[in-house]
Amino acid sequence: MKKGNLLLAMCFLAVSSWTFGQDYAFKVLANKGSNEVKSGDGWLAVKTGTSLKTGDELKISENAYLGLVHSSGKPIEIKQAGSYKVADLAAKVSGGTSVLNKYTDFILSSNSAEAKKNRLSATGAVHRGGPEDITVFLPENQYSSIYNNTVIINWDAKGTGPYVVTLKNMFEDELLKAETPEKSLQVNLSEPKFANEAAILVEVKSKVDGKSKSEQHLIKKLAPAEQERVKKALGEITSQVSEESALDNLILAGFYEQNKLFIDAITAYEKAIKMSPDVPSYKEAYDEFLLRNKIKLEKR
Amino acid sequence: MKNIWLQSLAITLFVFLTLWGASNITDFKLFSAFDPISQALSDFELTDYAFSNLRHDPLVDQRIILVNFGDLPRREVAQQLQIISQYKPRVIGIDGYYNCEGGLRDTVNCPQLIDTLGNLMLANAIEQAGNVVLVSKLLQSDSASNAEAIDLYDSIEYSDPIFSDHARNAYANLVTGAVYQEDVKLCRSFIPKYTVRGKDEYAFAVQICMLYDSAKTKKFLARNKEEEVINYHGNVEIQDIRLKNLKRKSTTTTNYPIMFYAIDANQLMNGEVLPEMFKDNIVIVGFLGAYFGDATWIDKYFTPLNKKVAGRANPDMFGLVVHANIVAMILNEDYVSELAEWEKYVIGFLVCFFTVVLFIEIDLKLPAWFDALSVLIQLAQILLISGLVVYTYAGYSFKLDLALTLGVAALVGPCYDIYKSVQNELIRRFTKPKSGVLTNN
Repeated sequence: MKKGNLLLAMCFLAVSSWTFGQDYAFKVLANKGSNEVKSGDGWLAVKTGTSLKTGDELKISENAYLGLVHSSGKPIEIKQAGSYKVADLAAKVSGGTSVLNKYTDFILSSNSAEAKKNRLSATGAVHRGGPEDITVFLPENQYSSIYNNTVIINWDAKGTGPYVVTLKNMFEDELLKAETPEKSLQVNLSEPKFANEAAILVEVKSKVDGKSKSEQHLIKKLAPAEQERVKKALGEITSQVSEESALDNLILAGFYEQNKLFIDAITAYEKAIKMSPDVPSYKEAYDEFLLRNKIKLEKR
Repeated sequence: MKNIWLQSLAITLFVFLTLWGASNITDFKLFSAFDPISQALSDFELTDYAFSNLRHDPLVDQRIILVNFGDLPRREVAQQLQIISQYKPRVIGIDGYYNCEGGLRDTVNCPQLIDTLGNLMLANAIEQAGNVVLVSKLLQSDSASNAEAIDLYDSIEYSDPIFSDHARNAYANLVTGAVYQEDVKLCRSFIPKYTVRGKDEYAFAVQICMLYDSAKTKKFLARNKEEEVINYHGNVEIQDIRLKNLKRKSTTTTNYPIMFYAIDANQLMNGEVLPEMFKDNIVIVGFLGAYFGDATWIDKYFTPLNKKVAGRANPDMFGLVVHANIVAMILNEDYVSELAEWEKYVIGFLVCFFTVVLFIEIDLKLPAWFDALSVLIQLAQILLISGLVVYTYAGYSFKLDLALTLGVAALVGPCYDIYKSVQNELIRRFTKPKSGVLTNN
């Protein structure tokens, strides 16, 4: 009898130590969105890896996700916004379904909901607008070469100015920092501070909101051999083109575009528009050029 | 009775001969009219039903932590690594290449070279961590490629030496039918070990496991299988669904819930994680979309967990999660067993042989019922075999590949009829009628 009691006590101890050993109901596996947990008095932001106790509460925000693992190792996912009690979630963690039950469910479900679907849920269009608040109209890095020394940097911004334009070298040393209320800045690369730089990084920031900034863009001076090649090709048309009229600049823009010198083409288009502000064709040609080369995205 | 066994053997051989002939004829694509169907079903396996819908609910593997590097530049990945390293994980895997693809080392084709400081930061972070496994890529050299060698990889592409010199390198190639990286990728299996020019190279997941638990990994490698089926258990699928009416609908690509810890690109840097979860565990850094919920198809695979087992569907799993599933499989010693090639033939032969014996018996004793009974037997066999294949996979992780047996079960009825007709015709032609036989009477 004594032996039996001892065995019973040992079993009780083992079970209770296992039960109390699980000092959490869930752990957070993955978290998306601004979800909160109430543990004790205050609400705290949910962190991945956090242990949730039975008495805790959860607040799931809109378009959020919370992946949890129960102390038994079973996962549970919350995708709907709202408040949840951890104890209620723990009660939902079932003992699992047998293969046979799953098979029955599968057979019964396969010809019901699957076949009845709305057929117009998808559209042939997209929501546009990049994550950057400021979009600089400079080409992608692989087309960032420049032949001339004049760069006209234009940008579009969600907020208002003033803006800070920063030009850096490859080692992140600042070469130029200019402040402007406009959405455009002209830079002369023949200035001594740019003389020894083959590649320059450009970034535009809002002065008011430091977080509002553009992607970093590259401006790359042509290598001497390439410079010579372009100079020779350009020489063939400069005898007829003098860069003095708007039309001449339009022709030059075409030449630069053909040679993938998009930054020079931008400068030429800008000059053409400046020379003939009343002629809408130059502006239209410029817009088409920007869209054609994906420097500017079409607004939908 | 002896005659029945011989007859059965002859018909069984005829069934196999017909199956072999049919298989060769379809290789010539003579039945091009059926191409759409065969194309749609070419990737389908019966066991996909088991994976997709019927397996036991998996338990989360809390030893594996996936960290998304999204679109972060190298310098920020370096920061991620520094943070992770402080938390003392046992192994860190990086599922990203840090070189110039194709060896095109100019800033036009390889703009990542421009950020020299970022590159140095990353190299330093890898060196300081000291326990990093970096992915490499099995490739064909030009000569092997020109010779149109199939599945022969005699070259390997590593990340740049400033990174790879301070890490263990292991190939991330997975077995798919894809011709190039952006192609449609269906992954069921992987190759644990590959010898490139005399040097053994390990798969990414195998190398991670080797650093985490060498005993279990050696046990896995001792199976000595050239190709291993991945025993998928779960996914990491976080969606970005803003329309409320869609939230109530099933929009996921798999039926399986989250299986591993997952941390988004910015969460680590913002301190939105608890450091304790990393200690002595496995961290694999890779791509889970630009952010959690990104609907990108970059590095996304079709796996047998996909709800749609055949036809067009959305890919369901990031490559990073495929590697994590392999790691979990090795550490849990939860492998998929398969039939040997000869076993498939023996089972197919025996099923065919005894079906023919049964048919002969029915033909002799119940000739009027032969047609109806033979069709019913064939249908029952096909259903039974299909059910058995699915059940053994779902319940016992045993891949009972009985495609050959299914083939012979489908052909045995028609072949029996053809054989008997030909046999009867030959007997009729080469046997003299009773009236033509001279007798002494």
